Amino acid sequence: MTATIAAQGELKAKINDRRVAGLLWRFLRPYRGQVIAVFGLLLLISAMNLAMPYLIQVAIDGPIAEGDLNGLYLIGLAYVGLIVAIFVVRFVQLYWLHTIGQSALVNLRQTLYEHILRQDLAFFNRTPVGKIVSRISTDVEELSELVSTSFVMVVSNLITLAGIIVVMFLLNWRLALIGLAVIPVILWASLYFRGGVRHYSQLWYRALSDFQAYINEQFNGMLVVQLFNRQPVSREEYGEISRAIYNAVIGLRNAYTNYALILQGLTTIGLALLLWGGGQGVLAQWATLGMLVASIEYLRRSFEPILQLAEQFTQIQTAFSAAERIAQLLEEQPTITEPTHPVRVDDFTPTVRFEGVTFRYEDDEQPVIREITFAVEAGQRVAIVGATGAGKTSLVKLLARYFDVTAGRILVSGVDLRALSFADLRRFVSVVPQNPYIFNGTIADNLRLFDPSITEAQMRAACETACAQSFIDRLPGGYDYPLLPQGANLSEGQRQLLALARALIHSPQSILVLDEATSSIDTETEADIQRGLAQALHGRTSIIIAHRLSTIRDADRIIVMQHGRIVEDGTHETLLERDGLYAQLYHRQFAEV
Amino acid sequence: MASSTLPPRRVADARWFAHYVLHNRLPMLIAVGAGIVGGIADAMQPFLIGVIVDHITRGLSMEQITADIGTLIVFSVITLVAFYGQRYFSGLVAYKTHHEMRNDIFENMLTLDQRFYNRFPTGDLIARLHGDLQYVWRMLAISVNRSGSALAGLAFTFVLLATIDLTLTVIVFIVLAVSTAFQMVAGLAITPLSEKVQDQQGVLAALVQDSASGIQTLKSFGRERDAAAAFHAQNVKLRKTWLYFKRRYEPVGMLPQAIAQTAAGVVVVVGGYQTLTGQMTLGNFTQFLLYLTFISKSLLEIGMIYQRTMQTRGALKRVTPLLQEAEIADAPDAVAMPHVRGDVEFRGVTYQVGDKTLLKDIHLKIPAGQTVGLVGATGCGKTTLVNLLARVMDVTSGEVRIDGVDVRRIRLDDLRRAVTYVPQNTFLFSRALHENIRMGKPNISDADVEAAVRISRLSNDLPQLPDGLNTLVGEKGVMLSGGQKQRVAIARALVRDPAILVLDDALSSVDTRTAADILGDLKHVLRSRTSLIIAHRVATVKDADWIVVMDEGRIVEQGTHAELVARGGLYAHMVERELLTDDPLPAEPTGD
Repeated sequence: MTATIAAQGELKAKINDRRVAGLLWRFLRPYRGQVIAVFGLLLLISAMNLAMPYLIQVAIDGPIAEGDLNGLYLIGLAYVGLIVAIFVVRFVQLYWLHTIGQSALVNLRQTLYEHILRQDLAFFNRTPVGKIVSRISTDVEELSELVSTSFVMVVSNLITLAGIIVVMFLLNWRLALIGLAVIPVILWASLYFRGGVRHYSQLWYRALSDFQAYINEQFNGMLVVQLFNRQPVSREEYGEISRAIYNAVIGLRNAYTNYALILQGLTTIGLALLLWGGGQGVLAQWATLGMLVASIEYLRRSFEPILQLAEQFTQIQTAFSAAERIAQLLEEQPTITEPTHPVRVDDFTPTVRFEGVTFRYEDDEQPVIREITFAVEAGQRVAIVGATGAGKTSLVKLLARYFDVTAGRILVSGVDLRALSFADLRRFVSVVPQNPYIFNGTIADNLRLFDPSITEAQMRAACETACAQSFIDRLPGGYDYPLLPQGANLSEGQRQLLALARALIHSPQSILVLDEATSSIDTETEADIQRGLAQALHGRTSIIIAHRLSTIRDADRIIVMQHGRIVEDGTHETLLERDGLYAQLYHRQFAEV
Repeated sequence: MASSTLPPRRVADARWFAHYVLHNRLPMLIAVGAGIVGGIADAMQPFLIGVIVDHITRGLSMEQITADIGTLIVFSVITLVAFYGQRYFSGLVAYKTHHEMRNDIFENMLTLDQRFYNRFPTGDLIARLHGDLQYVWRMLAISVNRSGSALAGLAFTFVLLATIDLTLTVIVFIVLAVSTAFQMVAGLAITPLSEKVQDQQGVLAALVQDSASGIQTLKSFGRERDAAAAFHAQNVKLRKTWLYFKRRYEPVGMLPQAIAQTAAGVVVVVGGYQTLTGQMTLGNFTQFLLYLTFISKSLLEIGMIYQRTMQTRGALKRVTPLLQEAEIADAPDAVAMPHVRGDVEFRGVTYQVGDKTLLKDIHLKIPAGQTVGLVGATGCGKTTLVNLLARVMDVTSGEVRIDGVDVRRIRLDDLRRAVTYVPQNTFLFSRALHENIRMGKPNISDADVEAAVRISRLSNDLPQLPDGLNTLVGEKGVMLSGGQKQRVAIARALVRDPAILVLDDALSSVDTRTAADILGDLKHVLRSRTSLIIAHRVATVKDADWIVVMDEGRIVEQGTHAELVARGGLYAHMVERELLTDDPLPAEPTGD
């Protein structure tokens, strides 16, 4: 299963601690003063917690032994005071910490999001969307857990443990030595069993993610499963994955049970040792009863932090691998970058020039575009035709600078694309793809594209020109009509009209580059598209990858591509006259029906 | 794993739950029994420590004290063994119950039809089968594990402490019980707040998903900065919701501990006073102090069990729809039809969804071995018609018959073996190419696969694929182009050698030249079987034996290509339009 392979890959990637620390430091640094203050408070809380058994010892050895009632009440008062103080300080500390942590995470998420938007198309081609989403949601939430819970737990547990050891030695060093004798063994056992627990919890996580991936696929493909009687195979596969979860979780349970068993045994041995040694101590008078009772109380309290530390290890491990993945993503650099000193274009003329352009995709050996040279004058409408794989779409991608040319150059308004600022580039060239993407939200959201300053009048004007207004008017709510994911409640033609209107709003002066749709479009919208296109393209420079006869006929010029080269260039009539590839393609279509 | 012998219940209620738990009753009884023993033995520990303290106070000999410690160790060993059994068996109950539920639910889901799958988004179904069902083991793990020991321990402690000092015991228990109850109630009250946080996290994730998917559009119009601003607004809102939740959650979490500590304060003062006045021994005083932790821990566990039970009840409500009975299933009197000739007949078939009539009174007879083309505008009912034949759904009225038998009376397995239906949207599993063709049928020979690959022209592409037929196609076949995927679907149908073959617009993404080649080869294959071919292009169906033209749920014309063109009706119009407007050139795959 691919999911398993991916998960294994992620597990094997060794965590680079310096990289993780660098990431955390980068986002916590603005708050370093506050972080130190918060840990100061943590120290205070631990100290107050430790003072409580001490008060009991003082009560037993002092007022209780001496029969001093007032002294007892005083200690009682101090005890209650401590409880209130701990409550208040802890709340302040958590409140503060959460505020810092969340502010840092807001920055992290924002940085990540903007970083992702900056990446080039090659990045999006090789990175599945699901992965990007989980970096910025699941992984950041892991870090959130780390910052808001695990760090506090670990630090306060360490402080408490250290505090207990110190206080016990101060109280009575002999009792301390006896009681604490088991602590190193407990620490060792925790480290030892951590391995098993981690192993099984990783197996478990992997099985769970396999499970989710599997049921996702099955639910999506259930129709095919049933139509082809695939149920026995699905049942078997599901059984295997389900069994893997069961085995992993049982393994985890066993590891935990063994660990808990050892831990409980060791704590009992520690207590027994303390009682036995303490009993002798009290009898021999090198310890008081109060000291013994307080030591018992301290020792019992010391087991809790160790247990929690052991539990936190797994959580921290998970958070660290999440941080590692985030750091890796932040290290990605786009290969298509904005020039540091872009050429300023004061008078933009909508012309395009390809000069000896050759292009090859990263991993491919063969170039898809070979030494193409042509020029488009201002106001010209150019249709590009050619068979599958002729390089039409790649040509568009180069013009939008989704990719950079391998050789040669492309000039817009007389300036090399690579010398333009991104803002200018987007202003000068806009692409309407074959399958326009529809964002979540309403029709208006899709026209505005996050720009709240676009007015309804602007939208209306663009939709009129693009012939989208009539279908929008028929939708309940008009511009506020909510669209399903991928615009599923619009027809393909309607989606195209919407995309056309979108281009008119956001790039009023640009050179329009259109990739026409090919597949079946309902007759109704087809007429709209013809008209919309004619109106939108009126007086504009445009380059259209043409599939429709009408588009080709109306073009000022037709460029015919084959195997990444331009083989013919002219008007419909001249090309037919020439009787070359274009004429051949054109006639074959009519012969077919 | 076949877990259930009883007829399946259709509601995930207490009885359904009990059915699975009782299936594992032996380990559950052992766990609870071990819990009771362990709980009491564990509760002995503070008592024994108190006794030792008293013995030391009274200056008894070291021999006596050593003997006391011996007793302590004996009880500890009992606790240890009991707790081991408790954890071991409770885990078994929890995970096995969950495992069995998970398997039975999926088993049922394999039978549910498209009406069900269209009603629930996939993400929602995953959340129910994966997320909601997790509550089962979370709840069982703690309740089977801790309920016995916590209750037994508490009862034992109460009796023990009451014999020392009834008033103090009652005070301590009341204070701790109230704080636990408070935490339980407050914890449940806060749940909606945590759901708000999750919702907001979902909003953020959806935004990322959306902008990463539409990145080309965003970049093309230079909209990145405003997109970042929109993200920032939601991002900040997440912080706000999160902090709002945490600032209410933390005090609720901290208060019980503070109350428990207050109870300790009461014990120190009251118990200290009684020890001072000689009403209580120092050992008893120590016992009270030590039992405080024990009591609050046990009460907390009971509170947690209550909380988890409530949550599980809520979660199981969401599991209930997954247990529903399949609407399309074998009739009690279903007939086996291992061999089908291939006569198909639609008799007065009407299909309605709500008040919308998608098919109205369709009569169509297709003799075995004929090839029928179905054409018509989008939404005219072509796909619905073939869906009724394959029983993706059932007719509202009328009958669809194969070899004279109503399809609703044919065993579903046999029906689907007889009818191979290639739906409009190709679905590939993330497995090897050949597995996507065989689809788990082991008796398909390599030669059959090869022949199908040849006819579907997949053979043209094999050299370009990294592992030929062993290539992993990736999630939903992302490794392949749209046309390649459709051709895999055709090969998948051909290897099954069905009596009736249905292709629903199965060549739409295949370029025209290849499509023509495939159709040419298919002609030979189709000669020996009944086939229904739905197409948007006239070119695809023009050679069929019979062409049926549909419009708004009715058959408006039928005949051969020549007849229909001569007739000058809707079909003839389609032919004309195709001449004028169809692609002059092969379509370009979207993945280019």
